[in-house]
Amino acid sequence: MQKKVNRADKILILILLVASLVAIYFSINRARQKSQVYVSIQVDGVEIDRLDLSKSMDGQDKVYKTKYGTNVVSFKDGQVYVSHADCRDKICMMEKPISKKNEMIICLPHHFVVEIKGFDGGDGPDVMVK
Amino acid sequence: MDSRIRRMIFLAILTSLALAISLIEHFFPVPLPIPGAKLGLSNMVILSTIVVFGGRDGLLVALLKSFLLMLVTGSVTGFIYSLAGSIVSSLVMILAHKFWMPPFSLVGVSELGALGHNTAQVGVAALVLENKGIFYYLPILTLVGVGTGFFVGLACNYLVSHLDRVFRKK
Repeated sequence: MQKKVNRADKILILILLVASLVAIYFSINRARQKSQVYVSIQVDGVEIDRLDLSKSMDGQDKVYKTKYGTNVVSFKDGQVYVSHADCRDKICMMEKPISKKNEMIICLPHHFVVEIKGFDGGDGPDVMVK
Repeated sequence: MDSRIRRMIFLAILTSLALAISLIEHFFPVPLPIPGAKLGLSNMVILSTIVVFGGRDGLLVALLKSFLLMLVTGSVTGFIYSLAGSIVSSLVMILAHKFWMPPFSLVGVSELGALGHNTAQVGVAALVLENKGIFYYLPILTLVGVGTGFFVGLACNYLVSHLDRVFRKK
């Protein structure tokens, strides 16, 4: 019996090592991306939808048609903004894209709110002054 | 001595050897929520049995070991998962030893067996617990399996030559 390691063995080991490390890298990356914050879509103060805020959302447009009107929410570079609204003043469309916790874009005529919330409970105090 | 009895005695001793190794491993803490996840050092005995005594006897030793391990440790739930792993890894090693030995050596066969064992165990766990997230532990298990599989394969080279010599000696 040959007491050594063949070339095929080494190739197999290499493939398994690389594949495992790559898989671990990706799963850690995925976990970090999705965890911290999400987008909360609210109408009349009631949350009607929750969206992920990651780079994979880029280009996906979410249309919300309510009795008040229509708003379209879009994503770019991990940020969210209102790309279309049929309200009169369109202030919501002029707002800059948001991505940080507690930031909001509001369409007042439509009672429509896009808010960034955190998974770890965003209802703590905003500021603490000693 | 009747050759069949001699063979049976050898296989019985090999089974208890594999059992002893598995028992020690059982009390090694493994930081993964997969029941029955172990280092898999007992494959040293199983692979050696496969090479010296043949695939059928190797599979027999593996099955007996798994069953006895459950009886001794009392972990019935872990048994189901490790049984799946044992069966798959034994079958993989038997096939690899028979058909792929020219390209691979015993190290490669052992690695393939470890891979089969981990995949089967994770697969059964994910199925029974109905949780696909368990597959996220497969990469880490595979890494550990590559390490121990290498050592097991190397050890088998020596084990097989000695075992063969002892068994054939009149």
